[in-house]
Amino acid sequence: MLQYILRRTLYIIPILLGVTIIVFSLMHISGDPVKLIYGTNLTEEMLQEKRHELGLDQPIYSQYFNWVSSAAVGDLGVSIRTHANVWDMIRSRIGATLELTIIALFITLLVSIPAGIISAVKRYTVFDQIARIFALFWVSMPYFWLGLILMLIFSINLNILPVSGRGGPLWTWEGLKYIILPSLTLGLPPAALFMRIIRSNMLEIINEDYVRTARSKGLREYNVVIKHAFRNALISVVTLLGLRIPWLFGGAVITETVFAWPGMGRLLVDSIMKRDYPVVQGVVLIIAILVVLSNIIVDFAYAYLDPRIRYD
Amino acid sequence: MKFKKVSIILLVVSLVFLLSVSVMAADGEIIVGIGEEPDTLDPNKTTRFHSYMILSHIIEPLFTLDNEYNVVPLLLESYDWAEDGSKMTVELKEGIKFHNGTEMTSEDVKASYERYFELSPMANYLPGDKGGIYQIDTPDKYKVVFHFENAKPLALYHMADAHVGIMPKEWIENTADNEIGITKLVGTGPLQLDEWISGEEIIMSRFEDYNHGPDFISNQGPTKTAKMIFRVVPEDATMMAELMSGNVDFSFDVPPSSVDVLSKRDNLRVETAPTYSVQYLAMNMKREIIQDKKMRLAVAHAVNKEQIAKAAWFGVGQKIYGLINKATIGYWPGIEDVAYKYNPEESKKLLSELGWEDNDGDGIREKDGEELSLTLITFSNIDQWRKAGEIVQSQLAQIGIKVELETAEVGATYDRAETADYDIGIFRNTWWLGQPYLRFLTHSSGIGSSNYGQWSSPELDKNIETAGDSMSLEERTEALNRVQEIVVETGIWVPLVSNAKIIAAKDDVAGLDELLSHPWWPPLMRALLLHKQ
Repeated sequence: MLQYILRRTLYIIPILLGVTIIVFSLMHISGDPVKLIYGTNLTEEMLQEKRHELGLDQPIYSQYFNWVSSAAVGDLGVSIRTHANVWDMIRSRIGATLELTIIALFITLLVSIPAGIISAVKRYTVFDQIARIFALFWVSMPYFWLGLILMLIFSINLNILPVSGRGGPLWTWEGLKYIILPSLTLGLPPAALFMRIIRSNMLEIINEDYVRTARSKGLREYNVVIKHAFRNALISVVTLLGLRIPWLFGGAVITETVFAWPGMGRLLVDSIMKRDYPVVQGVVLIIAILVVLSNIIVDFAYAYLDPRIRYD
Repeated sequence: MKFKKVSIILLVVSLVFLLSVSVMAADGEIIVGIGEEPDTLDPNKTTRFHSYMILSHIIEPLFTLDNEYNVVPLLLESYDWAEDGSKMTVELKEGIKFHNGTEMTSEDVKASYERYFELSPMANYLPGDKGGIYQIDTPDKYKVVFHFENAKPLALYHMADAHVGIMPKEWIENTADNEIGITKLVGTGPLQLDEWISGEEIIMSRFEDYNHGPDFISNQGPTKTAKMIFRVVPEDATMMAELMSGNVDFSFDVPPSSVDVLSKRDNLRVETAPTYSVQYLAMNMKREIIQDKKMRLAVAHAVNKEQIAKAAWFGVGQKIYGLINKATIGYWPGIEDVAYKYNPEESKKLLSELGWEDNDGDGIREKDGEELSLTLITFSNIDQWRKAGEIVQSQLAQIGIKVELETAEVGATYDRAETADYDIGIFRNTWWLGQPYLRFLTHSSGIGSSNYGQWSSPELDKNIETAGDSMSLEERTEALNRVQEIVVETGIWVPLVSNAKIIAAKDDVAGLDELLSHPWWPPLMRALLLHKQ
């Protein structure tokens, strides 16, 4: 197991290098940030000075090497736009993003697991039909559209929740009311997908011999469904979870912009628009680390859930 | 007797109550929705509009501009400028306090100007190495003497710019450079910076010692509102929802597309006015096909600016005649007679005279077996520009010109314009002072970079220089008018639409009428006047 953990941890390095090379190249072929920031105010000579000052006149491979070697020791550089330390900028936003994504994930699981199980157990009943229609509806809804619709209903028409922004601590109503709409926007569409996967897996499993055996032993239906069937269906949920976590961060970028949620996603969008290379690279690196780490956690969860899986 | 006593007590209580209500009404906070978070509030580092608009509540320059664009003293009693422009002596107002409690002196002015010269990307007119201020003397606590290398007649306007705002010398020296404008900012403005919560809001509060507002504003200070909170709302639809739900009291970042909806809300007031930001079409004189004036005029006559203002700008943009419009200092009304009128029949006639005819009936003109085709470049990431590109494409198709519309984001589009890799393009510019703006766009020194038309003439250059260098206002005005005339007359630059500034405010926000009386709706007036009723 230890060997597996080590091996998986070492995989992080080539993955992160790959991500940084792609982002670095894409950002640099998108154009000159100096012109975008100072374009109409400086002469060509002054623009050249600025490029030199920021190291943007060096060959791209040397810029990349400098950045990677600094990043390896925790120095993500300084923002071209704000002149602030990139890590400080990310640190001030990371909490908001984690808060939003964790609560959205919680909503996803809270909605999808019971709905998926009930749909499978009560197959073809009214509940199942309604749940499947809703699932299709949610899963085909873009984040930004869902966000705006929720905003229109709960903030403008009913006026019970704020439109955008972030309030106080989550354990107070002042804080909680601000996160309800963004977390629903981010959590509901994947919940629909999860629900469909759980339902179809549960349908397969509840017809397996060992489930029939459990029933014939006279176990309570609750125990049969939850302890025997659902535990086995969980493997696919965990797999899906691993695949959906990057989507969750991707969705957070859009949700944070729509709801003016001060997280890393918005910082990323702002920085891309302003070609603030160091910030884009820094945010993407941190998101990549979070995604890789969460996938490793998912891998470890397999071992816990299915003792047949061995890593050595 | 008892009744009289009770009456007096009731009267006193009522008066106290009314007084307290009026004081309370003048207090409170105003939540301002902003569409973009500032990069920094350091006046010497930023080039961004939003940063400028927000830091201008905290930082003040020596001068300001009144309702009629006259430069008037803000932090000074008087000034004396030598006729030849070589020396300006400034007498500062006594007793002006910084937010940290220290008094503003000549040493602070000197230190602030020196920091501006050293750091600001905007310092391209005043510094000594640009022929401007090469020495600053401080003979006493309240006197500053600026020595100019050459005559800089527009210096007063630049000195009224908050990018060269005054900060305390000692504070500048003792504050880490990366803290100035990020976590700390000290100036003489009517509001002081309390906190900047990254990605969320910038909180400012009333500076109680402020009392030096200019005469043209009814309130010289302190501010009527106790707090002003700038909330970042980056998405257009969200800003509209915030205004509709009443969570934002005021915004100067109202998207043009939402004006119609917001205007219909009973609790909101929406106002629009032209800004000095303009949209224009330029033609690349390095392309042979453009070099014939008849071709340029054919394009100029085919462009229906009103249609662009209506369709691309949702009716809030305004048709313009020259490269600088009414909101820009130096605007010449005579340009309206020079500008080419919309006349597609004239365009068709000109194209026929050039030998371009539609012989095969496909709607596109040909000559010597070649189709009449032009490449139009503009910005993909700004709605009003992308839409204007599509409209011009269809307008030119109506006179038989096939337009290949190629859009890219702002930087990439300017790269192509500077390297003359296009036929026609729709660009923008934002500058409140006419001469430097026209110099930037049309002077021969900008060919290969900012002169996207890639053309100039000795007469144009001479007039641009006179408009910037002469100490005679009359001479400067005449020269600038001539520049405006030449630019439009050549047909190389076709002014299209001026951007609109839009504000929306809840109906309980007071002070709006006076703010709207100034053509720029400046931050200083916003800070001093706006408050909740």
